[in-house]
Amino acid sequence: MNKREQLIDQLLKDLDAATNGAVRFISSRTSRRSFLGKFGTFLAGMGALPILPVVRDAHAQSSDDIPDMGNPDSCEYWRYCAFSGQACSCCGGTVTQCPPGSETATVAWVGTCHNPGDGRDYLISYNDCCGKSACGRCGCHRSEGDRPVYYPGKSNSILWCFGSTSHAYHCTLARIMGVEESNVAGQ
Amino acid sequence: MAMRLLTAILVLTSAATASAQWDTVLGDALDMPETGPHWVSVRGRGIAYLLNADTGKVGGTLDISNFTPAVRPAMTRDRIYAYGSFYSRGTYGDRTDVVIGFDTATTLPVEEVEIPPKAAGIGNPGMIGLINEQFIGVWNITPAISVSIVDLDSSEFVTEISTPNCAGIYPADRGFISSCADGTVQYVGLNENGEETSRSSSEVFFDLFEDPVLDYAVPSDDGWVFMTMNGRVHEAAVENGQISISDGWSINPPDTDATDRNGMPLSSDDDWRLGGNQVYAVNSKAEVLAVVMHQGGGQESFEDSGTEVWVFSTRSQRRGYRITLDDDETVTSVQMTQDENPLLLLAVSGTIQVREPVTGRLIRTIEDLSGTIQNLYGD
Repeated sequence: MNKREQLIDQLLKDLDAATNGAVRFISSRTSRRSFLGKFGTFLAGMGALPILPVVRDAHAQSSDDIPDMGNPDSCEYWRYCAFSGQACSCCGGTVTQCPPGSETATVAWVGTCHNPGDGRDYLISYNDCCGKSACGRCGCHRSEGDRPVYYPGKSNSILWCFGSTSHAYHCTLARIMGVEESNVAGQ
Repeated sequence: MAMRLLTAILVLTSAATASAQWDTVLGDALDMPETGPHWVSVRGRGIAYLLNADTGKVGGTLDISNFTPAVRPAMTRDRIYAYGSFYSRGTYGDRTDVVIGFDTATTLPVEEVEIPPKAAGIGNPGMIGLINEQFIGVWNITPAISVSIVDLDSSEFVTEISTPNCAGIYPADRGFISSCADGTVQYVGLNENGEETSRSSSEVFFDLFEDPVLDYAVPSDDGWVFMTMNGRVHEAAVENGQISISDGWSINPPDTDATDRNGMPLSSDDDWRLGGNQVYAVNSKAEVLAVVMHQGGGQESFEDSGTEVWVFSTRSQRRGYRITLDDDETVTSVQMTQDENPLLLLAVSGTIQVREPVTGRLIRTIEDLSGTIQNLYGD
């Protein structure tokens, strides 16, 4: 069993362990675009992220230090490379915080996006905000690296409102979870 | 003379209005017209339209939830089934998931079975399947993946079957098949009570990372047709619990000296990709495959709407013709009725186009109607 098969096997075991909130990770080569292959995919349980093979804020730099060019209301915004939905910044929230009265899903799909501000690749977690009607503004569908729903960690064709009290979709965040290790090592 | 003319006018006026009657004060409601193989449902948000594609007329509607991705007709039972999620206060409050049976004559919900509140709120028609003409399967994701089974004879929830990393409920043999992340199609056999009795997987025939099959399949005479993101066509069939996968062929073949049926050279058309909500449709009797296509984009554009529809002969595995839409139009769904004189239906920019599948000839355009198109018969 080669490495990829091992990782797939692990994913298949992990994903259905009925453990909402736990980290599920698999490294994978997901796209023809080379930078997408660096991180792989996971279902982001928000509580245990330090085990991810990416450098978190404490080890690299705080998200405040990350150059953040672009307009979060625009589909062209760099964090939205694998985005699908409506931008929360257009609905009373921000790119990282849900609008008033909505609830952040604790599980998300991810993408790896290239930040033009520093030329590095970042792992982005796309958390849905739920419990209110769809915002209906600033729709965006870029979906880089998207896979079918049988591979949930890389599929945006799912209502990602898991862990919230309602699965009514409102809008989507784009939160920076880490920076690619090779980027940091090369600094 | 004038008197005679006036009399004639009065007679004609009387004749013209003779068929009209006073409307009743209270009004009344119709039953659904008789349906046939050219009837389809078109799912809008919170409603499904029942459409006669032969006339372009909507015969009735079904009230579905905002979390209902598709319906599942069971015309031999005089029912159309759907599942839905309902909150006690619209988008919040207590959640209840149910499978609903709609009477095909009145369109009213007449059956309801509560299921675990795990049903996928969005998706394609593969999220709900009619198995063995007796059970409804509902695809769940929490994100753990499973299938809820409802017995239509007893109107009871039977069980929940775990189907890790597999999607779709496509009835086959005595159970259903799904496409899976490990590159296989999985078969789950059910007994007469709707409980799992067997499970098997096909050989690995695709690679999740290189060229995965879509989580969408359409029926053929022998089984189900799957397509990969790069346009490879495979047919899956189940016999005695064993799955067979056809060798497959590509709608984007390598450059060859071959020509299409019009004698035009075939090229690989590398810059074109399939994409949409219902990306392709097959009619085995007419030996036709229709695929929604757009130019440019990577594999991830598999949900993007199309600007053309490519139509292939499944016998020769060659493209017969292309439908090119107007500049301001895009197509999201394609469907074909499953009878011997099929119709090709396209969801195009808020309308439904009805075409002749072998030639592509436009028969009619139905305005102000669009969404997921499903056959009432034959799917």
